[in-house]
Amino acid sequence: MSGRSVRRSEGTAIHRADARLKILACLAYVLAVVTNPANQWAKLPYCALPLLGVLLLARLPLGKVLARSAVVAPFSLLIALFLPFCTQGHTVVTFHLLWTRLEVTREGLTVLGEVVSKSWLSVLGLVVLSNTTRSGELVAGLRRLGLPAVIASTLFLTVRYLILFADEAKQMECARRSRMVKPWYRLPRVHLWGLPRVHLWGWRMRSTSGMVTSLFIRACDTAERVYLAMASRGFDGEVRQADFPRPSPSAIGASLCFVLIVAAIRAWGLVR
Amino acid sequence: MTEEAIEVAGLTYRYPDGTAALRGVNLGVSVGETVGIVGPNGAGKTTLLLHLNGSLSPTRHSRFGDGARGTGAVRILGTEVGRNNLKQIRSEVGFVFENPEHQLFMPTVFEDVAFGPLNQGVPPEDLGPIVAQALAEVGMQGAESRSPHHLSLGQKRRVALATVLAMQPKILALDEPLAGLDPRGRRETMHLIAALPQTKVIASHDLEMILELCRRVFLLDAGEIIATGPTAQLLADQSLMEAHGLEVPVSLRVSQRPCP
Repeated sequence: MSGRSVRRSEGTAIHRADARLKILACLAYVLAVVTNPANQWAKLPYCALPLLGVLLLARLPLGKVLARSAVVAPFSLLIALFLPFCTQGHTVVTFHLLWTRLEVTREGLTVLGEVVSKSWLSVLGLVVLSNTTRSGELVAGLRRLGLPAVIASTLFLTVRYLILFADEAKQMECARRSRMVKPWYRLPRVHLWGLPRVHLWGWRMRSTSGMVTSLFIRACDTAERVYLAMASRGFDGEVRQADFPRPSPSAIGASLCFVLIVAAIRAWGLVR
Repeated sequence: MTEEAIEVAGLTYRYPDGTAALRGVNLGVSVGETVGIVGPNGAGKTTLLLHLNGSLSPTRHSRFGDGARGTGAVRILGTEVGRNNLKQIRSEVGFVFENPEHQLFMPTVFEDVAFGPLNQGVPPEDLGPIVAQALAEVGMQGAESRSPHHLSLGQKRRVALATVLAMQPKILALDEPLAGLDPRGRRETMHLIAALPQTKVIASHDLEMILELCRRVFLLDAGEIIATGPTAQLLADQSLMEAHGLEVPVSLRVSQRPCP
């Protein structure tokens, strides 16, 4: 039994397609989204259509993909929140805060909507890419596309260790929960370290910080062991991929179609 | 005329926090032999094993910080383990870690077993049969496309062993190979290990397993070799065993008990 037939037999055609094609298609999609003209952001939703097609073809669960794409929301929102206040233009609302006057402008709100929707659509593309491509293939694909070996192996190890972190955290959380029987608002007040009547939920917060610390230390230990295990099997920093077949003509054709559709939508965005 | 597979001479090792893990360990293992290293928790068994493939080394301790210090020498098949021959040493000494989670890190079993051979420079076309053979040796044939994360502990241990066997080592260093296995898993894994032709060093405090697999055994405690000798004889010494946090295996106690 050859390794190739075994490894390539799972998932949909999109899952099996060459990682390089998927990376390039994703790049084209993200470029199309972010370069969409500023005053045309009503046309942005159409950019999501080809992605939705891929999503359906790959039979990804929509809810899961949306949930994952929400991960960046805190970051993009935090940055974007200041935009309506610092863009010049027609004033919509004015706030009087202490001695300062904050003005929200219509242009600012437009930029806000644009930044949030563009970053969300881009991340959606990346989520679809990472959900249809295994991390090892993704890194190998990037390597084949010319990413330096050092960065490729750093990426590979980051993914590998993130999985370890998550597993370790899950186990600790499970162990902690099994020793926590009351909800926080029904915890008694107690005397701890001589402090009068500390509410136990404060103490519970302390246990969370302790957990994070010990997670970090354990992860370091585990990472050291994993590295030794890899070095014991001859790992020298270069991530080697077992097989890297040529992309099939149909996969190339499909990715070209995808890129063309994205480009068409992008070109249409230029039309007033 | 037995040739020495492993020769450890005057090995000391001190962890960066100052803990002396090994204090002057001498040890010799002949080619084809299976020896056990027994001792309580924290005796230095794993530290000693890590020296066998150069993961720790008296001449190379930068990875573990400047505080780590070691002296002595480790020779594998006549070659002293040093900075320059790690690749060769690691092809000769296969190390199976106590926790298979640490050993399995690729998305599929195939890629995990292929990892070592790929690093040895085996061309990708030849990997299929090598992986299939290594998996067959541990009774896991057909598991190539499975994810190591979804295997049971027993299966993970087998695959971890296969990842090492695929590199065709001459010496196997096994750290607690049966820890956490159920009786059937124990039995099967023991048969598996017994059937492997390589020189084997097994570190464990599972004395029943040591008794079954090893002819000769070293008792290690607090970083020193306390005693060495034929397994059945050494493990039957009740006062020695109890002085070092171990106990005489049940099977030896039963056979020595006078019949009622």
